[in-house]
Amino acid sequence: MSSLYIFRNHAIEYLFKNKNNVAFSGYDEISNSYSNSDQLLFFYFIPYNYNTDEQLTLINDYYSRIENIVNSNKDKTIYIVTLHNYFNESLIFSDNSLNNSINTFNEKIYQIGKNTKIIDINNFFIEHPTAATIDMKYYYLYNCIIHPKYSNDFYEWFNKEIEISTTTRKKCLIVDLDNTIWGGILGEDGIESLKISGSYPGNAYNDFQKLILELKKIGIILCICTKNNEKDVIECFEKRDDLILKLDDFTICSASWDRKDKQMSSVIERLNISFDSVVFLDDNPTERELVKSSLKEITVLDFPEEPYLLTKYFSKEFRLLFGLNTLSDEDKVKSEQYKKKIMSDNHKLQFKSDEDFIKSLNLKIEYQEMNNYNKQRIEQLINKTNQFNLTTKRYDLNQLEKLKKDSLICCISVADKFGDLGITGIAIVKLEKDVATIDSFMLSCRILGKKIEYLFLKIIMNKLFEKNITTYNAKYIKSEKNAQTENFYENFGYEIISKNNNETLYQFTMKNKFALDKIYNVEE
Amino acid sequence: MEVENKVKTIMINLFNETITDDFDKFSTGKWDSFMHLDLIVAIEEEFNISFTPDEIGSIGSFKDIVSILKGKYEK
Repeated sequence: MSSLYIFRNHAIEYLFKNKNNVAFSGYDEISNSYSNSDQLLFFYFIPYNYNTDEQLTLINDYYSRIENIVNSNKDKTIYIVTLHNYFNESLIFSDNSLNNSINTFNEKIYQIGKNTKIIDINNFFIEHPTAATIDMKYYYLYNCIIHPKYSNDFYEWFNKEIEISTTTRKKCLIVDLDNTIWGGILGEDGIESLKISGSYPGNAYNDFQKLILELKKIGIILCICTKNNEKDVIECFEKRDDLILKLDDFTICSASWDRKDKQMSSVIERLNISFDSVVFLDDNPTERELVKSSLKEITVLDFPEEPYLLTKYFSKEFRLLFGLNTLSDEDKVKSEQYKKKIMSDNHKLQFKSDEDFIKSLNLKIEYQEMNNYNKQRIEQLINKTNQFNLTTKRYDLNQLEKLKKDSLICCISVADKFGDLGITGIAIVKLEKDVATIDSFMLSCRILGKKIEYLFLKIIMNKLFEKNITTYNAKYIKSEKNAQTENFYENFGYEIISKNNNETLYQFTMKNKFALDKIYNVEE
Repeated sequence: MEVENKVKTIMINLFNETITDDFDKFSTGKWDSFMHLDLIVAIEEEFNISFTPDEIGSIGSFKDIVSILKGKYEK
């Protein structure tokens, strides 16, 4: 059983009262009663003392003690807590030599030995700023530097620090793009409208990109995994020179309409690193859940609701996952190589089929015809949907009202187990006797990848079939953005009537109603 | 009775045993110096007061705590 021996010069037992297998030295003692412990901790406070010379001598003394013990105990793991100046009032009498000496100490201990891990006490004071102030009553009565009311907070923090220092540092960060490293949706809002710099939320994303770039500087591999057209992504990186992160900063950029877990797997396999060394960032809870349950070894971080929280939240998370006080690669190289082999041999996606994945989302789909309550949203979507849009025709409200006289204008609302996505699919079908002509058919990119497009079309055709409409004409008009819909009608079962460079005409003769897949909950 | 009840709740949580009105240092094996510190801090936090060093030294029973607290409130 592993045990911890703590060298100290003040009362600190109250900070560790919940810990088993811990032993304390006497104040300032260095006997070798620690020999049975496999972990040592140096936790010194600078004594309360107005005599700066004495303090400087002590700090040097601490350093030599630690150095000696580190050198003669290479088989043990040794933690060192940084020093902190709790007694700023002593500056009234002296120069800055105490602070200088503390800083030097704190820098030197990082290089003191390979078997050491540094615990920076400042991180505790960042989380609990008021704990950095000494309460003189408890200091004189009990020799406590940190107020005893923080003992539980301290213990929790300390355990987390130890945990970080013993876990392997992550190697790779894979990020989504839209509403993750910039504000807005590339495919819908367009390159010019993305919030990348300037006023809020652009400034928040700008700082967030700077934070991510820092990871690259300490050797973390950055990659992109996004549902977008690759061409659009490349164009965006070329045109937006206010992006802090450049396309070159990313080792692999995976932009396609494939499921995220599949994209991720192929990125990670190309990098040839183990899945458990990867961290994934995505604002969309559905994508996070998919990756979390499909690729269990990957670390999937929660994502703050508001852009102004990004840097604060992720700088803390990144320190825990990528921080330099975690184990370096060499420390674990053997187990890592071993693990990597196991992973590549055994790794399989949890969701073998798309059906399993869709089923797990608890999708609810509600069909509605256009009415006074939804027409605003319908108009909005018609005018901004680019990617999954078969004909890319734009109409304003007046035109829609006119169309309504001889057409069916309908939409679907989609909700999954993470929340309500609202109206995210629209169709306009012109009706003439027993012939229906699909004028427009589109889906918001928020719901792509769940085969909802097929379900939506089936619902519409079933409705019309009840009105004895059996012949369906449809059209695909090529645009710069809608390549992914090129084969939609064909895949559905429509026959090609004619085809040229930019346009394909289809027809379908309906004989029976479609059975709707049971993996969806449909409300009509 | 409110003060008594609050103090008892704190002590029950810390000592994890029944606290009678006569509960003192000698009723339990758990009242060591660390427990003393936890108890003092918990009461200070709950009642938002600060014990003097003399008071901290003199506290040895449930009744001691209650009488000091009542003294502080009456001032």
